[in-house]
Amino acid sequence: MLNSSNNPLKVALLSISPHNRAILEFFFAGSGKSIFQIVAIKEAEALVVDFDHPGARQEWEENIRVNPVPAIVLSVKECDVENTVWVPKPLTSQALVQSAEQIRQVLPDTTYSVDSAAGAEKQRTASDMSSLRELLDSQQKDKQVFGLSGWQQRERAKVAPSFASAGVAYEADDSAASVVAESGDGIAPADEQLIGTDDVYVPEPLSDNEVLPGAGSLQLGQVTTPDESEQDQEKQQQRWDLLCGQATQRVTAANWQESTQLYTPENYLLNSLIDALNLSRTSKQYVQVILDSGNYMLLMPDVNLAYSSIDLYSELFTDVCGTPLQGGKVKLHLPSTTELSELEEVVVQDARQTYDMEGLIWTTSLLTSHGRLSRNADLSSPLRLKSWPNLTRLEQFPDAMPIAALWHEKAGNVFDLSEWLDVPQRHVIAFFNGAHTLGLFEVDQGEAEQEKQAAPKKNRGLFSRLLKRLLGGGKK
Amino acid sequence: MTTTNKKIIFTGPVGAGKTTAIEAISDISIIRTDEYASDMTKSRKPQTTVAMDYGLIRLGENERVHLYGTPGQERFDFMWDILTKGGIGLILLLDNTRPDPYRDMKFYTNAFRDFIQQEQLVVGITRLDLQRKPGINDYRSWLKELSIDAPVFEVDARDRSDVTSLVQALLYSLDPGVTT
Repeated sequence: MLNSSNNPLKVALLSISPHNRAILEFFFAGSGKSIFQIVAIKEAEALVVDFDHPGARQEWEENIRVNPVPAIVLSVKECDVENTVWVPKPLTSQALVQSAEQIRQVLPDTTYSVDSAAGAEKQRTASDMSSLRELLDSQQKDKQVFGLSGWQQRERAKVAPSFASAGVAYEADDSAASVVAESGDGIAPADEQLIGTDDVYVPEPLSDNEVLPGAGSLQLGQVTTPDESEQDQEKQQQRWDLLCGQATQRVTAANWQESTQLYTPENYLLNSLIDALNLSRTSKQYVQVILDSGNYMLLMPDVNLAYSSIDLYSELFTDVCGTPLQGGKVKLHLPSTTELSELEEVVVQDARQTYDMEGLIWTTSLLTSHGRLSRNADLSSPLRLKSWPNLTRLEQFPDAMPIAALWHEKAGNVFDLSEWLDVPQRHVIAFFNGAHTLGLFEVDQGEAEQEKQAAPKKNRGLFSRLLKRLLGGGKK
Repeated sequence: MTTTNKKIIFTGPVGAGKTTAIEAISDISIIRTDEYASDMTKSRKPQTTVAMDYGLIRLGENERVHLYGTPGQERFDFMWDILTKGGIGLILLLDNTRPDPYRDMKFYTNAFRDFIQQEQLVVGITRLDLQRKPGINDYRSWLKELSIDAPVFEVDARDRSDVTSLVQALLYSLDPGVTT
């Protein structure tokens, strides 16, 4: 047996399920490559045994009678058995690396029996191991209690640069499985050696044969936008115009109240709908919003759904939302048990017009505001988006995602956001109106002042190319 | 010539739709965890391991985004941390029809807590159409309770645009200034 840190620890896997074996092999082939090497039992310096596996203990005892080597014992239960090192589950690579070091300490030391050439190599690798230990120590120090406020501040710049955020590039290699770290002086830093080099480990094969049929010939628009005809694009633009308006002129904090682009929510169906939403949430009852035309919306808080007798995408609904209503034209109604069973039947039969409750409110808010700001809006304090809207089930318009992301990260008002992102202000105003109606904003409690200058963003080019690809505009 | 490799990790309990979600956006036929049990590995190189689902998005010749899906059933045995090195973000898929989605959320956010602190989490709720409660608002509250800031979306893992939205939210959260 050898105890030399310039060689990986030779281990044999005993009583390991196929899944766990695959996981360990993944680790040993990647970041644990310099620490462990899987060998046959006869050649093993140590065993790795899963004591939670049926019959594992018996198998291990039989083996050590023949080949008395130390063992790394994986188990959910603490194991205090001689000549073993217990690694508790759930497993971590750090715990495994540490267990290898502990095993080395009990093995006979033959480090100095190697020749001088190997000695130089040993010195280099020993230095690697020392870096490894330093890294492990630093990881220990860096560990924080989950949920500290620093986490919310996203001060990623303070965190030790990660493999990803360092934007490490790799030498191209024909074999997708062997991705080699690259660094300025030829020797990657310890953390990259440990976690970077082979962590982007690719199961073989990754040949072109495995590319999905036709995937290579994907063209612009084929990915996420199946209907890309001019007519469809035109329709899409018309809808966005309804939701966000068409204003191109920017208003400012100083002049917005003099703008013609203002509206009074209290004069529209939206106001009654918000009242109904609040009533249904507080009373936990179904609430019906009945228009004088006989059309109605039914809010169902227990299932977060809403039914509308008018199709949300129809011209009629747009008109209803955009036309100021006279008093008494809308009433709220709590349906009786009998009425509810009748309504239930209607909803079931006309499921097509059942919407996510937030979706109905969002669309109504956007069609009502039409890119205008509420006359009563308080835009003096910076606001922060406390939760993202459920954008996959809400009507989308351009820039909604980056607006949500930035507003969640940084407090500001509609004027700030459009400037920061350099996007049309009508998109920001539309987002503000929708999310504000859903109660997703909170007034910033002075944190905006304390926010530090955002760290320069890494990977922007790659993210941009990935987004283009996913949205159908990028090339392969 | 250098190749840039980045990872996006999909995690969540069994049946939450990780494999399907990866399949929806991957350029290659994904390599599945359950293929390990077949003779797939026998016909391949000895070092072939499939400890998780794997997909890939190629961006031109020199950039690759690797998509990893954790095996959902390996709650206690899985080495969660080995997947995250080199990752730019985590997509947690939760099945709303499971008995205790809150517990699932807590387990997975805890398993990846260090990574989430350093990078970004996005949560996708699947099967909300089959089981409306808990709702998106409940998940938002639970995340607040766990002191985690992350977008939560209802998704159908089979729907490419939903999965794309999750990735978009991830990228924009990391850098709202990304342009397309």
